[in-house]
Amino acid sequence: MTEEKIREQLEYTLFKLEAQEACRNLMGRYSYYRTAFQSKEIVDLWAKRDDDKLVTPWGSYQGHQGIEACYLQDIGDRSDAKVFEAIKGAVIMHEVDTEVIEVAEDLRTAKAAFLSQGHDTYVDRTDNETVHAKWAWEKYSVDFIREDGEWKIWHMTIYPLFQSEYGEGWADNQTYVSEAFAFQNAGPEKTDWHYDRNELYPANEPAIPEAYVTYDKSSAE
Amino acid sequence: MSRTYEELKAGFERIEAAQACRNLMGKYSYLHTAMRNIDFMNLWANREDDILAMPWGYYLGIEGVRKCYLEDHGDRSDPLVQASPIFKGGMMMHAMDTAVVEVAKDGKTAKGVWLSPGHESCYIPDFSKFPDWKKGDPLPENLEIMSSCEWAWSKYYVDFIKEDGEWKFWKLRLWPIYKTDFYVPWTQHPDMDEVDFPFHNHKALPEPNWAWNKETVYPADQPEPPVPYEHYEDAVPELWKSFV
Repeated sequence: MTEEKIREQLEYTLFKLEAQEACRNLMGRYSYYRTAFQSKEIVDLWAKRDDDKLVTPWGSYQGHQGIEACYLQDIGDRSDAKVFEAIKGAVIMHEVDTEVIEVAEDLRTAKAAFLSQGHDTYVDRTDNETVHAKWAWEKYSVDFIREDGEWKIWHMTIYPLFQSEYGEGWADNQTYVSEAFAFQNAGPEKTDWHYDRNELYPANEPAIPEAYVTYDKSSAE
Repeated sequence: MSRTYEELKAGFERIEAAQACRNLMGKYSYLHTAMRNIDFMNLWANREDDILAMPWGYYLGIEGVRKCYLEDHGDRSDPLVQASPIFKGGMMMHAMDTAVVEVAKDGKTAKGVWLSPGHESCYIPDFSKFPDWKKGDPLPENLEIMSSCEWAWSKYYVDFIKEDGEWKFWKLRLWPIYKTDFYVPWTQHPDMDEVDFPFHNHKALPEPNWAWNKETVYPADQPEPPVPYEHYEDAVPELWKSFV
């Protein structure tokens, strides 16, 4: 093997490792910004592409414009005075763990899955200032793409696991999205699995990434 | 693409550094639960500018770190700890997740943040009723000892530094998120207070810890996820300015 070939292989390996670090950091940043309603910063984590896609338990958003509509209009940024007033008492904290990250052999994309244990605390100002303290666990399937040399979120599906008031068994509550929130820009596609004693747990939510060559072609092929 | 061998070496070292920092946080967690605080001292840089900021106060320099872990807390080998009705029965577990780690381009320092779901179990009195009590003191007579099983979720901002070729803790800030009895929602739990802890070697925090309140907005900078940087001296976190 020539010295240049060795250098190329080292560079390839390093690039993959750097991509994993970048994807891991993107998910971490997403979590911290989400808790603090730093929604402008979240939008910056996404690729500026028409084929961005975000699917959530309350609906879906297509393209970068859809991502902006979700985070800047449906959720809102803390710099907006109305939002700042509305998020008093709100702590939406979704931690990120149990990662599986696969970077494509062509180094252009990455696929990942994560679990998230979390809690949602908020004041329902549509219902006599009722305070909610809820466990809120969920799962993420995420595709990342390299855009202008930087890794970005490309597709994200948030699968609900359970949400239940403190002290309430999660099997007793099948509602994941509170009616206290309106998501006016969300499309109809949504993730809505909930625990049911008569149903098998889904086999592929999230899909566990396997090694792959290009975004559309697996290594097995 | 097309990096030189020197650039590749630096790149691999930064990957190794990120994992070393994650490992340090993992070791911190396991050692803390087992009260292996002598071992924990080995994870810290031997420097006078170390900062350890805890929910009850902060400690400066490696001597401050030693006072926190070996005097205020005590190692499991310490006879005072072994004889203490307070420390026996203690099980403080703080898991680590949601990491964002940035290693400086110069490879000398790193910054990281973590969230931590955790729980604390112990048998304790209400320390606020006798604030001068410290490890080794006899407990007042007729003291009511309460069983305490609490959720204790927290979050960390940490600076790391490479010292003699090894990554070490340099500056660590721990914020409480919720600390609440198993049967009580965090929204109904009283705020954490310095006198809840029987420690005496710390300096007072420059400002009170954030605590949930229905009229308070969650802070955006506790912690602030690190962004890529070249040299630490050009990117010193604002956070440390008040810990002097």
